[in-house]
Amino acid sequence: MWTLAAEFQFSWLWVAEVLVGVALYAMLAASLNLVTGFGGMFSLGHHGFFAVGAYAAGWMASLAASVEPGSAAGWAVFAASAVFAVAASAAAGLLVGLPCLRLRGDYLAIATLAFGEIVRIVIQNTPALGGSLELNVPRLVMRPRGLAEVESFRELFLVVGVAALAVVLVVIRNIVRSAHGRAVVSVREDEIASELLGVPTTRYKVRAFVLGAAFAGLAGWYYAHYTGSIAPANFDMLVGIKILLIVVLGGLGSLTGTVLAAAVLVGLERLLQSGVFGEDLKRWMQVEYALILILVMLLRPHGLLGRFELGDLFRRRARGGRAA
Amino acid sequence: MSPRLRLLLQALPALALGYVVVRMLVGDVGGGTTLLDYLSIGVTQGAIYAFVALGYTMVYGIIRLINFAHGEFFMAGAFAGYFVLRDAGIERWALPQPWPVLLAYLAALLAAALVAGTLALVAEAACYRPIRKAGRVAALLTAVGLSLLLQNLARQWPAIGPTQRPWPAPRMWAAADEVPSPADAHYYELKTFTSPTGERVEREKPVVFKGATMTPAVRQRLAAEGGRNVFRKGELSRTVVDRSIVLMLAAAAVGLWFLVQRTRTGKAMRAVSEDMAAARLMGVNVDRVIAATFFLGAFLAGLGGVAYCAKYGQVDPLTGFMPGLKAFIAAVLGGIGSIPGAVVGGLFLGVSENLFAAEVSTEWKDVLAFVLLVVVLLLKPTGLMGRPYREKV
Amino acid sequence: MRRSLRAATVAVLALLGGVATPARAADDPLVVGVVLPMSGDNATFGQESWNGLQIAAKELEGKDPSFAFKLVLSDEQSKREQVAPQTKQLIENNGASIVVGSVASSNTMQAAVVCKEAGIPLLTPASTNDKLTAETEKYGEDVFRVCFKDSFQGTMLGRFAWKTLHAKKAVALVDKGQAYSVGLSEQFTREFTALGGKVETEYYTSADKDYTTLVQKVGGMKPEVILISGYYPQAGPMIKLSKDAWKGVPIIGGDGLDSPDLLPLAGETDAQVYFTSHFVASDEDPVVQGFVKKYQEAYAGADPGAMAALGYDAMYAVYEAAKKARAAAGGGKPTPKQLSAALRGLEFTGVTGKIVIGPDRTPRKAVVIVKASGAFQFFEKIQPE
Repeated sequence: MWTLAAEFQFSWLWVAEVLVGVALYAMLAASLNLVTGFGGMFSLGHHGFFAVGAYAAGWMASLAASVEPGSAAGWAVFAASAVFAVAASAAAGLLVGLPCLRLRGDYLAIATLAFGEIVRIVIQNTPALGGSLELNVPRLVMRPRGLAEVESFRELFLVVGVAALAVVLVVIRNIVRSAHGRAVVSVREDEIASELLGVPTTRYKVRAFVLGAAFAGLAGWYYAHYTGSIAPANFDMLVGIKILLIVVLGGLGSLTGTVLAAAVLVGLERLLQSGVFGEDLKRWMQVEYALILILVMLLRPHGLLGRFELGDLFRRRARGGRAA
Repeated sequence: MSPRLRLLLQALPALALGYVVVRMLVGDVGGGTTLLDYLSIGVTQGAIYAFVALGYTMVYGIIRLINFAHGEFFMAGAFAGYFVLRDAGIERWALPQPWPVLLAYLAALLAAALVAGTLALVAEAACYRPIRKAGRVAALLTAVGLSLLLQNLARQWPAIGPTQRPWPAPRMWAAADEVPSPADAHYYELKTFTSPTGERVEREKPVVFKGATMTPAVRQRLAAEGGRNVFRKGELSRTVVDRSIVLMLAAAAVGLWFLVQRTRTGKAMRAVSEDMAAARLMGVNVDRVIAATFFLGAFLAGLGGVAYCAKYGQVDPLTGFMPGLKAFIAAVLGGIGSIPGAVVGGLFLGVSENLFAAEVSTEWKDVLAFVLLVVVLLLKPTGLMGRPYREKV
Repeated sequence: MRRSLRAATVAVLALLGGVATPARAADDPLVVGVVLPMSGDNATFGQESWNGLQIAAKELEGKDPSFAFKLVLSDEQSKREQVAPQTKQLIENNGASIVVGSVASSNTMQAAVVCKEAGIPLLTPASTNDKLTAETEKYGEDVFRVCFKDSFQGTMLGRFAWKTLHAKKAVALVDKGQAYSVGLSEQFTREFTALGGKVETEYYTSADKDYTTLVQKVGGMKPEVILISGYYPQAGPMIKLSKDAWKGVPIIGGDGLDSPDLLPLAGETDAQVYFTSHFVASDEDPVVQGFVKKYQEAYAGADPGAMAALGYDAMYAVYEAAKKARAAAGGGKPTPKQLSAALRGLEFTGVTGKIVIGPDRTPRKAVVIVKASGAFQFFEKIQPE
């Protein structure tokens, strides 16, 4: 007896993996939201910074392949690779941002898209990074053997991911609420007017862009250490599109919306993939995913929450119908 | 950007051009091929890019949408052409009599263009029109979604399926007893197999291997196996395919120019592109003009799809991805929104890619397109033939 | 607290999906997870392997009623990034005790990384890259195969080009994105240069479909033999485009060319194409012919390719290992660890030859040289020394 469709058993392992994916994409989308949602810069190349961070972290870890996993040295390299990944992708952000941010609208989007592809092709042709083949990222904090240990490993990374996401969200929120952030938002609202009012628009745009790139690098670090093996194919254009989709779905400029959208989208994707809705739906998964994307855009082009945060909705409800 | 850097960037193309000219004069680059050969390969490939780039540029010019699904219109056209050619039984026709082959190709091109165009009309009405006012990011994501949808629908559609198929080529057919003996050839027979997915597929099964000659013994064996369907294969030569592609592009470009510059529809298109609100106030039916633009762009993409697949000999649901991406780059290089720009950009990209691969490296070929893109965007964001950028305040 | 939270999440999700019937001990079959490219670029590889697996499974079902097993297939779509999540799902959600797959070496490597950490043995029917079993740091100690390695295949290709084709100068076409392509060309180059030949290398990518310039350029290098180190979806169109530029130059390749789609994609050609493989249906060996007959009966007259034969052998390897492990486990369902131990040193006779899984977890087997001209013809069989 054999079957194409085997019963899918939900397990904590599976749930943990989905949650790790949610944390990862929430981090990526929050960092892009800083650039696109608050800064108004349309970027299609965010996966490029994700790749730079992942490869920076992976490369550093591969130098420390002999370190005992879980030892103090292992944790030290783990932390150091985060700093290195953030620095590397911030540098890449500066390199791309300085010349490209003079471009406006679609031209910026095209230039960033080209950047994302160039990063991928350069990695493909760099033997030290594994070329087109994978780069193995040695386990630094724990080396799982057997399913029970895989489970604890996943839990550990879930904690790390949630912590990293919290850091990213808090920092972005504080920036947006600072004078700096208001300047960034003013650039989004009307670049020419802000310039006339004396806001150094390019400088603020570059800062927001570099910061967004740095956070994408942090997500890259997280991803590299979680999967243990990265390849250029993991950073193709569709990843950039998916990040942008989460940002739009969550609402440009809404951080809680971003997290919510990441949960909805990643969860939905994994549920379809798992085949719990039947084998037919699993086979047609890619079609359904694309259909949902189109429908969401048609029905809620400004995202689930628009520019509001989850908290705003509750507050509005509390105030009763007066706000409406 | 510092003036010195700008000067350096501007000097690069001139240096590259000079180098190419010198190399061409020197001639042979190895083994009897000259750089001119690569130039002609590049022109053909560039012509295909240009076909697709025209659609990108027209749609962008009119509603400022980067239509990521354009590559899928190309793919749909290619499949329409594939089915027409296959069902017309082009494999049964002998090449020495070119008329049926030519007719089948014309029918395939027409079907491809119409299917792609119709698909674009449907897509425009169902997806792009409702989202037109919702902002550029939402429209762009809708286009990406549509691209994914069409790709994956094609993969799942039983008649198309996820694997690549060989492009039907004209064959020379003969019944077993009509082959003169002795004659050298590959002999095949059409047999129906059940594929692993349960689909019935017709596939040729070799009955006599290469090098065998038609002897009375072989003929007897073929007859015993019911070999009425024995055929030997022939093919369109590459130069014929290449020349027809370039000619087709020239005809399409001239036709398009005439349409845009000399007809009422063209005038309306230009008006909408200039200022949609004003055009509407002047009584132009904006929706219809936009639909017509989509149709025309996809029509050309369909033609490009057949040309591309006939040239490279296979078709699959992802056929549109790479040419779509490259054509998009070509459109931006030439100046997105500009029709002559799309042609120039396509040819420029095709030629430079192939010369680069031939002279420098096949490894780094794919990065060239993107580097060119960035350089052009930084030097002249509106592209080689684009109009200067002005911002409405 | 944590445990109850977990249980609650899982229960909610289970209700949502409407499944989660706990498996009864009585019918607790050995789950064999199969990850193969059933669609996408390398689809014929996956489809043929799956056909072979199924033929073997059907035979085994009747043969040994005490051995309950279940095959669960997952389609990796010829996409590398699909392999790891699908392998995880096979192990974690379908309860696979052993994973069989995949075909392209780069994809199998992704599965190996997952299997290593989960402690599940991986048996690949057709991935020939040496690193899979050599780099235990990356891929663990539990990767097995029923095919030979590229170091053997590449060496034989080098010798064939030098001795049989009398070539002195070769050009190798390599796809840097495929571990198989890189590894095979390296092994070929080592042997061919050791014999006194010269090898130049050019690169292509599978994303590209236009190889006109590449083919022209290679033709200009005046090689005496051309190695297409890669898979049939790229090799077929290259052969098609090479009609003028490579006139009279023999083309060679590895088992990546062994697909029923190669010749249709290559179109009408006079090219002499040879490739190394594991099996060819026109081999007159009675074992081979017996399998060909079975396959033709099951699949409406189609000839099996090497992947079908390897799939068949892989299923038998799983069965033999399970039998051995069951004896060690005292008749119960063997654990992944026991399966892995049983695969070490396993011996049986398959349709691709006698399979003895050696210390490098790879059998030493004969390589078949196939001439692809109109059809796949048996050319030569070389036994390992």
